[in-house]
Parts: sequence; C-alpha cells; structure tokens
Amino acid sequence: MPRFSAYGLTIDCALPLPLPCAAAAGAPDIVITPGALDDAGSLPVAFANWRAGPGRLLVDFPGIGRIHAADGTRLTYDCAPGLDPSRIVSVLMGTGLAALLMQRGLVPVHASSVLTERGAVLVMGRSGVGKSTLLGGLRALGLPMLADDVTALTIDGNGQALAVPAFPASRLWEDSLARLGEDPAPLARVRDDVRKYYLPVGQFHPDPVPVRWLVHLAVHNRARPELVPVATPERLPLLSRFIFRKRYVDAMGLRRAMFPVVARTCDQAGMVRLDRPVEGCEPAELARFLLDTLGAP
Amino acid sequence: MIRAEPAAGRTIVWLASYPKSGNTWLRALLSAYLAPDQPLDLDALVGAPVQLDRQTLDDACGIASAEMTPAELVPYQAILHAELARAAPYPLFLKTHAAFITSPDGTALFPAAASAGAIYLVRDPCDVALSYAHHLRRDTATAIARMAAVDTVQDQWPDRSSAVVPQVMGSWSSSVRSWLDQAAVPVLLLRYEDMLRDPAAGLARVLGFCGLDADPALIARAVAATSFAQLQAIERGSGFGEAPAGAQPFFRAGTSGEGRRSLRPQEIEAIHAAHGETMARSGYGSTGVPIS
Repeated sequence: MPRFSAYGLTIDCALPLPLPCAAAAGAPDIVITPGALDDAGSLPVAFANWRAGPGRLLVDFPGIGRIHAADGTRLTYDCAPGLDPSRIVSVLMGTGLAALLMQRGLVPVHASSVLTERGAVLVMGRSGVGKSTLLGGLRALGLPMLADDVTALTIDGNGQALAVPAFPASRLWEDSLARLGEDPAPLARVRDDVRKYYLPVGQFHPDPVPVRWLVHLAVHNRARPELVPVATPERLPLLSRFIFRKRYVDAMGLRRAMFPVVARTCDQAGMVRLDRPVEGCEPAELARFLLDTLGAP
Repeated sequence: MIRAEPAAGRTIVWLASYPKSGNTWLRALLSAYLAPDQPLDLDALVGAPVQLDRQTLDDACGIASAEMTPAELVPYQAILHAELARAAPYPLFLKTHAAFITSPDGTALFPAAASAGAIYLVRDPCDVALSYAHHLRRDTATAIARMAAVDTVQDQWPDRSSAVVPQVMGSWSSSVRSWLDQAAVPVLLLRYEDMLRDPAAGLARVLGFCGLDADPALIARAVAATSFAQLQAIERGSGFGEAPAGAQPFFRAGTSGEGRRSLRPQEIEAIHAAHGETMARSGYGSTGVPIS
C-alpha cells in the first residue's frame, strides 16, 4: 500500500494519490482502505449528508460514495460504482483527513501557510478568495511552503502553538498559474475536465513551526490592498470561523479538546485582515505588501 | 388563487427570475414592507442569495464545490436548500436566477420538501437584453446570444474559481418554462411590466401568495420607499454590493419598452424567433406589451 507523510503523520492509502507526497517510514498512524459502509452503526448526530458521534464521522457524497473516519486512525471509503477514483480521493484528502485530524486533537484551519524567519504565516480565507494564489506570491519571494488550503494547528509540550505542514504541492487554477508565471502543460490536473492543477512545490518545510501571524484574506472594492488590525475580542471567533469543516467539531464532541489549541494560537500569534482589490493584483506584489506591512523578513 | 404551501421544513419562497427582471426591486419592496421602520439598506435586502455562497455549500456538505460541475452539485445544493429551510421560519425568501433543474439521479435543485413556493418574475426579453448587456458590460448581441443559449450558466469560468457557485440559467425561454412546467412547487408568475404599472397591486399579490397580511397603508409606504429614483439615490449614496464591477450603476433605467426602441430591428426579430412562444405563454404580445 502506498505510504506517505502529511500533517506529521504516516499515512497508508489503498488508492494512488494524484498529488505529490512526502515519503514516510515506520508504522502508519492512519490507514485509508475500501470497505462496505452500509451499516456504520449508530451515530447520534445527523445533519445534511453526514452523521457523527464521539470520534466518528460518516459522510454520504451523492454520486461519489461514502466515507467513514474513525478514532483518528481509520478512513474507510465505499465508492459509487464505476466512479473515477480521483473523485473519492478529493473527499478523502479534504473532509476525511480533516475529520481524522480533529479526532487526533489537531485543528484543521482553512489556511495556506509559509515559513518566515519569525515563524509561520497563515493566510485564512473563504473558498475562492485567493489563498493559493497569494501562497504562490509568498513562495515567489523565496518563503518555504507549509501547506496549501488547509494548515493544522497543535500545541507542543511547552504550550507553544504550532502550524503543522501538509503536502509539498499546491492546487492552482490556470488563471492563477498564469499570474505566477507557471506553465500548466506538464502538470497533472485535479480532474480531467477542470483546469485546476497540482503544482509540485520543491521548497517545502515538512516540520511544525510556531505560529507568528494569522492573516484573514478578504476582498474589497478599492484599488489598493490594505492591512487592518483584528481587535483582540474578535480573534477567537474569527479563527474559529476558519476551522476547516468546523461543523463536525461539536458533532464529534471535540469542542473541549480543540478550544485550548484555538485559544492559545490566538494568544500567541498576531492577527490582521488583508483586504485585496476585487479586480486582483499581482500575487508577488500582494505578498510583498503583506510582509512589508507585517514587518516580517 | 394559487398560494404558497408552507409546512414544517418547507419554508423557502424562491424569488426566481432571469437576471435584470426586477428581482432586486421586488426584494426592496418586500424589505420595505416587512421592516417599514428601518431605512432601506441595499446590502441587507430580504431574499439575499445566501445559498449561492461557495463556502456555505462546502461547509454544509463537506465538498470542494469548485472542483465539481454544476450538474454534480445539484444534489448537494438540494441538501443545503433543505438545511436552510429547516433552520428558518417561514417565509425564507431566497433570490435565484437558476432554472428549475433536476440532476441525473432525479434530485430537484429546488426540493418540494423545502420550497413552499416561488415567485417567478418575467420581463419583456427585449428590455432584459438591453439591461443585461449593460450589466455584463458587453454589447446587446452578446446578451441576446446568452439569452438564447440553453446552456447559459452564470458565474462559471473554466480557469478559475469564484466565491459564489454557478447558476444554471439556460435560455430566457427555458428558464421561464422550467418553472412554469413543474408542478412540485407552487409558482406565482409576475410580470415586471405589471409591477411597474401598479407596484402596490403587484406587492399585494406577492403578499397574498405568501399568505402574509397585505396592509394597504404599509404597501403604499413600501412602494414610495422603493421608487426607482429612491433606489438610484440610495445606490449613489451608500452603494450596492451586487452592482457589477466597474463604475456603472446597478439601477439603470427601470422602465419598460426601452429595448424595443433601442435594439436593432434584426435583434428584436431574433428575440422573437427564439422566445416568441414562451413570450406569448407568459403574456407578451408581439409588441412586448402585456396582453391582459
């Protein structure tokens, strides 16, 4: 079974992953295998297309299949007949892995991240706001990548809030690749009929690092980017808002386990909002503006 | 008289239309009527299309919607619509430009179990074409071609993502027909031109359809507060987040008949050739003037 590393964990996955992965050795922390999920047992919380209970999550994806994440160690999938496996990989690596991280006490945050000399800078934001594009701009300035789209948070033995890196790859739309001067031709597509690609990232930092800044990326209709401080009372709710797949936290009974991670991160890291012009601006220019204004090297 | 049919979990009233057909005006009227003592805020109108927010859909269903096709998204959007309906008291007004579509597995985008009713606003497609061209910042030929294409989708790009999910609109005709030809959700068909001629009567019909009290004094106040001149003045003063990118205003003319006066004769012919049958069905004569 292919073995790889992500979020500091060794993962065995029965399906080939289309995205570049860091190799891993040792016993697996997580095993991803196919299996029948007709009877997943009793799960007390039922919502939308998912059900959950302590340490468990079962999600139904119409047209794709079902996945079951349990005990932070097992991810089981049951594909719809005749499905292209890349479709279930997308939900396994997104929702499935996020649920397992939560079950292990890590907090997945909807943020791309890089390493600076003063620690990790996380760029949080809503789907489609331009996190991966700004990440490309930050990488263009020579900063090593930690994660694209979802960064995990944890606390080490000394009470330090850490950002935990994901995969050495970024997923970018053709439009963003063009802005970053990357040629899509040799890259693997996220799926055949979508012009979004996996870009392998050579400058990848695989180890957890202290969190220095949390940046909320948003869009405004003015011509120039602006950096706005986030007041202390707004920090905890803001970071909580960007927990990736946050609705599963309470459903799996994990609020008490995750709160200290979120609270400590807010205590230790600075938080700002970066408003970028709606018409877009050069990723490296926006990255330069961000770093200069933050005072980070 | 046709009525919305609210029930437990069936709380949504869709404000459905092709773009530039008076949807925002209707939202302003409802806002002014339902909250008569609050100043009208264009960015907080009743009927905000919260269901189109990509993050909301992704969070609700655990998907990366940007990497899925509009057809694949239908069952997930239906799940979100049911969730929104369950969480809100009746009536939950939601604006949509989508056609009444069904996924290959038979799931309706607008599930009857969540949808108490729909108000479908229709406007002379010649006026729609002119206003839509202005909104798109394209020429009228482009707008007319989009209105004739059965595969027209709003907010979809092949090479990038967006903060809102795509809406499958279809052509002007297929949009109208999709809503009128289904029987699962009660639909009130409302003509923009009738609203323009007698906004108070139009609003009263909407309130009647929804089973809400129609207070004549409050209706008169709402109509006065949402005159086109008022809406333009509010947009000039505080702006409107749904206005198209660029400097031109969202509220442009708000009249009827301008399309027939300013489109080229062959463009008007093309619109009639593409949509004549549906125009007749929704009450438009060959001159675009409502028949009844």
